[in-house]
Amino acid sequence: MSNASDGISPRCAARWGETELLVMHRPDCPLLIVEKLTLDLSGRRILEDLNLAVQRGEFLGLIGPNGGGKTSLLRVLLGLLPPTAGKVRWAHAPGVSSRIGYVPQRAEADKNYPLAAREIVKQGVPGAWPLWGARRREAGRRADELLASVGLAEQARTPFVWLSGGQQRRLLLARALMSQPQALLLDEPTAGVDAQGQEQVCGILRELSRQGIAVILVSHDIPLITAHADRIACLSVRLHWHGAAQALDSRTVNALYRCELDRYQLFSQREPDHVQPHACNSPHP
Amino acid sequence: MSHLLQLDAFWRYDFLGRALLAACLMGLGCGLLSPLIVLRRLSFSADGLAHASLGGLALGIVLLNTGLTPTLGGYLVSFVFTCLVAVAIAFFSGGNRLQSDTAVGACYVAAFALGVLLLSMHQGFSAHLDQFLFGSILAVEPLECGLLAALAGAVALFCFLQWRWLGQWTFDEELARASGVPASALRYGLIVLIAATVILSVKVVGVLLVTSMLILPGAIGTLSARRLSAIVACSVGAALGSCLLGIVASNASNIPPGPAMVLVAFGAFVTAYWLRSRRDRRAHRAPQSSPS
Repeated sequence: MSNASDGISPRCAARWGETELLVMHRPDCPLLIVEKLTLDLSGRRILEDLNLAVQRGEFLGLIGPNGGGKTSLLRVLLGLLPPTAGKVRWAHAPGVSSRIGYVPQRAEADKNYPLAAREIVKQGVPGAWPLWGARRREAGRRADELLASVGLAEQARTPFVWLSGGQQRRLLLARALMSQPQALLLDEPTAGVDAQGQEQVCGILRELSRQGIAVILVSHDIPLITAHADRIACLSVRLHWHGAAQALDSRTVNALYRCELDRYQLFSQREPDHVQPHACNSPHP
Repeated sequence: MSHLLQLDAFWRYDFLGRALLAACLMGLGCGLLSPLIVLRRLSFSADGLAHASLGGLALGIVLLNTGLTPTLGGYLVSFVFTCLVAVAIAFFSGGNRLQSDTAVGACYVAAFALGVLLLSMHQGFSAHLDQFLFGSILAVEPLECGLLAALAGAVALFCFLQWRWLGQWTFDEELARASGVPASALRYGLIVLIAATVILSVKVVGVLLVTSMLILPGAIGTLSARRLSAIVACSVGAALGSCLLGIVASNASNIPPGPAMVLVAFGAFVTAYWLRSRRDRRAHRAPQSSPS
């Protein structure tokens, strides 16, 4: 089992948060540090003694069984849940967006919510006041670009609730990108998305990662995660394992999910040119 | 036409002019709040607060001993009481023991019953209860017009300053919170504005009919448009139109103004629903717009 603090120089970690300038001038400083995080909800232990560090531009896959605390961890990272113990520290560098993009499993909007897809994407622009003039036109142009990038250009005027589940998730990804975040947290964005859509979403995430945006992706789709993520963390209340995606073996996954999983199936998506359509499906352990 | 509708009466008689002004100001406030209530699924909460305001008005009358006409102090007592009912609803619906609609139903009935009980202690109770339930717009005084104008201004300012946050909040509360939107503050702000609106609208349409002015314009807006700005514009237009048409029809035909305004709004709602159904059928027939 790897140590979550690997790669963080003691000096950097010790001075974390004391000065934004130091953080900015030390590219080896992680964007996110989670220290001894413990979370209890309604008397139940959800997360225990979790240590994790995420670098800028890193693509971290988060896997684990249902009830393992993956979604709760994202909610703590977003500040939606206060940790029972431990700390979550995000780096804030001057001149760099400090925003965190979030793509939830599903939107809360009810089946009659009337707003069109393009309007939902435009909601991603930070701020409270109405947009006027050039800023409004710029927001519209960027929304159109993002809709096109997730393959929903033709659905721009379609009400959000008319879109299929997979289309809605892709739209929420476009919405999250409107704020030009420094990190993107995604909760099962490929669930219910067809193979082509999954590849499209993961391709976008890889490109974002290359641009320096940290990506934390929660998914049960282990083949997909192993194919695209730089690092993988296996979470089931405690952090069972984390390390390079290539180092993840079936024994670790079996222990995590307590099931048998063929190693070939795990890594069948390593080479994008040889993607087998069946490998995109979740193994449903 | 002007003669038939007796429009000149609104300029000739002060009380009619005040009634028209009060109706328009109420329409503006309700038209701005209504889409938020509908999109955030707070219709039943708004209805509950409208009923609960009767308890507050009655309490104000009893505590300040002002007779059956509410004063500024009475409105303040009612506002505090209605806000306390909202806090009680939040308390009972918190902690995963009760659904919020159950808590609303339980609290508003109790507050309404308290209002009827307190009013029944006054002489002439039965003669004056109607004015609380269905309004007495012709008895609106300059104080109420001033308060309604201040309220409409506060609602407009709230909507303007929080415009995009409100849009995010109506879509998904948790997603909005994750984006840094102060969702709890928006919820409490909206509840306070709803409480003030229902209390100040008592004389215009009454506690029973004000709910319709808080729901129907927003429903018309959401049926008519796909952008938040257009939804709010439709809602304000529908609310103002209903109030104006209702009060003019009431004056011309000698019918009660409150029900006339509500029925005009309902007519607009049915029309908007029919138009939306027709548009949706056409859109579903087009291959691009249909959900895959």
